[in-house]
Formats: sequence, structure tokens, C-alpha cells
Amino acid sequence: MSVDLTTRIGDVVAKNPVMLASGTAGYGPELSEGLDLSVLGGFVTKGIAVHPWEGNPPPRIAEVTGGMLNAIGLQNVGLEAFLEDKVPYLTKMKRAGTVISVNVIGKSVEEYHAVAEGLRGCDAIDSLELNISCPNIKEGGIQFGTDPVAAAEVTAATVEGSDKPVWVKLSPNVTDIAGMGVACQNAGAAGLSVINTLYGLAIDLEKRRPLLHIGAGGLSGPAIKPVALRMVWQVSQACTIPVLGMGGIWNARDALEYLVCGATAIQIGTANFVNPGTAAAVVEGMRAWCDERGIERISEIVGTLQY
Amino acid sequence: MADVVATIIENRDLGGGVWLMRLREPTVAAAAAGQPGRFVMLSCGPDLAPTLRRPFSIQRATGDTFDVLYRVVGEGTGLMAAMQAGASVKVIGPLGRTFTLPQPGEHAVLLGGGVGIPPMVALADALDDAGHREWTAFVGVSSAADDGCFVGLDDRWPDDSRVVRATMDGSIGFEGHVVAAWLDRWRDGAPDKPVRVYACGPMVMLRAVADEAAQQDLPCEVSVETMMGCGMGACMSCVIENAEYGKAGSRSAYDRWLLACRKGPVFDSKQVVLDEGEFLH
Repeated sequence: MSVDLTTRIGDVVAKNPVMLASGTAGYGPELSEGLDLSVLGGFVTKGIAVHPWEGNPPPRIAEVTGGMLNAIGLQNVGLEAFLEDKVPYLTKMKRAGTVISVNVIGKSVEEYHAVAEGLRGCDAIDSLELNISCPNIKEGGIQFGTDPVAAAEVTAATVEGSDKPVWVKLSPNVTDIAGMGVACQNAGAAGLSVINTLYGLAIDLEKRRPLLHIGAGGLSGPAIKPVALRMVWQVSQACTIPVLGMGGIWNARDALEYLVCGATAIQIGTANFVNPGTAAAVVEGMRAWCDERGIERISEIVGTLQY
Repeated sequence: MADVVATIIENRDLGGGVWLMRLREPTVAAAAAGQPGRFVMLSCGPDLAPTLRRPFSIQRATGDTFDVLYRVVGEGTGLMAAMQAGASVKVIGPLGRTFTLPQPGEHAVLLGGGVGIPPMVALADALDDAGHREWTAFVGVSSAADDGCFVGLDDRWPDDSRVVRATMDGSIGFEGHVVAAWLDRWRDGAPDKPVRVYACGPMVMLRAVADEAAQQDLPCEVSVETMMGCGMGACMSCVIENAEYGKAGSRSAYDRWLLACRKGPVFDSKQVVLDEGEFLH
């Protein structure tokens, strides 16, 4: 039996629900030697700002049990270089059947809007994903992601500036994640990526110093999966737009759990660093799991958590 | 680059917390031969124990095997030391930029410190294998207890005047650091040829080598060690400061920090800031 993995994220149709998460696979070529990118349902680029950002001084990562902390600081090439140097490769990926989403970052509503306008008419791009929640930048980012009014404002401005569906990547560093999702949905979001990293700290006991140069950073990896799964479940119940689930997905079973909890699609992040072939294994593992259970369409299991 | 599973042929305790792991994996071994300076990302244990892989430079690639030298410093390398011959290790590699080989007629000066010696072994292998015998290696450790770091040189060049061993306490060879050993050797006469300098070791050593090379106006390449998450340019963590940032051709803020895994780990010594940094651990 052939299992239909086709996934509809609003108007965006992907051949399967497996995507790579922003900031974990660069602009495409970075992972191409370790993964056949044509297996991907979708790909989300490293965050793009209207101007290049230099990022944080090292150390930028710290390993912790079951995951890692990062404080890269959104080092990125900026809109102009992105269009010139990065879009050609993304165009190739799109032609190979992969949905392309561009992660958008900014330090003000105007900057998000400017990136959205700058990407207008770019046929390689299927959607935008707003990073309103990266906790690494001391200026901007965190304010949008933790305040429903600010989140709605930046969402509405980007939707207004863009000719593509806008997904919003929610910050988990809030008490009411469902409320954040509803605010973004009401502001015009076409999808919700749940979740970004959790704000965390790792220290060197002897030196009594943080391991990261800038202090705290974003926790990712299997350590955050239970938190992320709970948030996907809550957001998908509170909202009608599709949810993209992510947080510590290491294998097909992890990915399937997200679908059952309400995610239409999933994104693989930290696992790309360790096992670049993870996405391919997840696609095959999903297919086999459905096949063994006589499930004809992957969409049948979305949001089927019995509770 | 390949993402493959290698088999441990040997995992040898060299004393002083230094170990040599010999791995069999034909794809990586073949791709690494004659490519000094490249590295692999190894899994240190079962999945997620620990989370990330660890980067190691390839010391020697022969036939279908390759060697990595490592010092037990934490959880990952501790698990590696407990692995037995016959066990499997996941390997991504070879990765990174290689050293620029010297031109015919040039004399290569190789400087290595501690567990930074392996890329110099790979370079000496590449030179001798290509028939380029004009090189001198200056390799140093703190004391005789760390002499396991010399293993790659001891195995192939046990009694070769081109290999100068140094210890900080004088327990083996020259007493002092490798730059002092280099200058001491040349006091009796430097080679009558253009010289090219290569180095790998602690940041403070690389700084001293780069300064000396600059003073003598010699081309110099250094292999740097930074905290690396993936080795493939995806995580963007392994950065080193770009010394040319702000100058012509490098004005984008994106170029302030260079990825050691993709742009390096081998850099022209003038291209990067060889500084531990205030908060580097």
C-alpha cells in the first residue's frame, strides 16, 4: 500500500509533512552533503533581516543533557545578499518539489515589513515564517514574542507587506501560548510554528560564569519535547490555522507524536547537527508506521490525541 | 563529506590522558589521504549520550583506516576512551579546508602543540608522500608525561633530524616552547630557501607563531580549534573573529565572524584574530 504523505498547510501544499527548521540547515547547501534535500516536504531558511547582522561573539553554544543552548545572535547575510546569493539554490530546491519558507527577523515592525516587501514577487518562496521569539538578541525579538499585542502588530504589518502566506513562530517563553497563537491568527497569520527555543542557562561551576558569551540562550533538542508537545496540543485546539510542530524531533515516532497532538507538519532542528540524514529517516519511518497500521493518508492522524 | 559508520580497529592509551583511536572506514580514509588539516565529527557514545558529536583532526589516513588523537577532557572523550576495538562510531567527514601545500623549492616549518600536533603529522605525511622532503617539524608538550602526543611522528620518523621535540620542563628534547625551538634550530643557519609556516595548537601558541612569521615576513597558516556543534556550517557556532573585517571587500556585518568549519579550520594567520577572548573557556 502506498501511503499518501501530502500535507496542506493552508494554501501551501507539501509532498510530506517533514521540514527543516530555521537556523539548523543554513540556506540549503550546508546540509546537502549529508541529506538528499529532495526528500524534504519543506525547508525554512536561516532568519533574514533587512540588513546583515554579525551575531554574537563565541562561545555561541553549550551542550546540556538531552540538548543544547545556543546564542548565535542571528548572524545573517541580509536581504540583498540573500536575494542575490541564496535564492538561486532555493529555486533549485523548490523545483525539486520542496516547499520553501523564509524565516524573517527584525528589530522593529518596520524592519519585518521591509523584508516582507523585499521578498515580494520572489517565486522561489512559498511562505514567510516570522521569528518573533528568538531570545538571543538583546534588542527586539523577545518583546514581540511575549506580548500578544506586539505579536499581532508585527504579524499584521508583515501580512500587509507580503504577497505570501505568513507563518508565525511562537516563543514558548510565555504563560499563555494559546493566547499568543490566537492573537497572531486574528492578525492574519496563515500558520503557527510551535515552538522556538526555551530560554535557558548553563554555567561553568568552577569559573562561576555562563558557558555562553552573552549569558543565557535558547534551549533545543529532545530535552524540550514534552514542553513543545504540550504547546502544540494547546495551540492547535485554540486556533483554526495549521500548526507546524517542532522541538527535539529525533526520529519518526517523535514526529508522529506531534501530528497526533495537532501539528499538520513538523520541523527538524537540532537533530540536523548530529545526524544530517534525520529528515530522510523520518519520512521513511512515517511511511512505514502508517503502512503497518493501514493508514492511507498521513493527514488522518493529525489531531487525533484521545483525551 | 560522508555520514558513515566506522569500526574501531584500535583505541590505545598513550598515557597522560592522551589516546589514539584508529578507525576503519574506506570512504573517509580515501577522501582524507593527502588532505592535511581536515577533520571529522565523531559520535562519542550511543545516540544522545552526549547530544553533539565532537570534532577531531585527522592525524593519518592509510589505506582504509584513519587515526585521531584525543585527550580525555570531559564526558564525550571519557566515553570514547572506554570504547573497545570492534565497536562502531558514527563519522561525518572529512570536513574543512586543507593546508596550502608548499611550492617545490620551499621549506615548510611545521609547529604543533599538544593535541594540536595531529594536523602537522598529516601535513608531514602529505609532504613526504609527495616527495617534498624539505620540512622541519617543531612539536611540543608540557612534559614527558604527555609524550603520547608525539605518536604519529614517533611511528614514522623515530630518528629524523627534521623532527624537533620540545617540552616546557625539558624532560624530552628542547626545553621551552615550539617557537623558541624553531628559532634555536635556525640560530645555526636558516634554510637557504623560501619558507612557509604551518601551525596547530593552543591559541597562545598560534599567536606566538603568527607574530614570529609576520616578523620574518613568512606566509603562515594556522589550524584553529573552536567550539563546534555540527562541523558542516549549519549551526554557525564555531566562529572566529575576522581580522580583515571592515577592510575593503569585507564590509558586511555578516563577515565579522568566520565559521571555522567551512572557512577553516585552516586560515591564513593574518585573516583571523588569534585571541582566546574574554569569555572563551
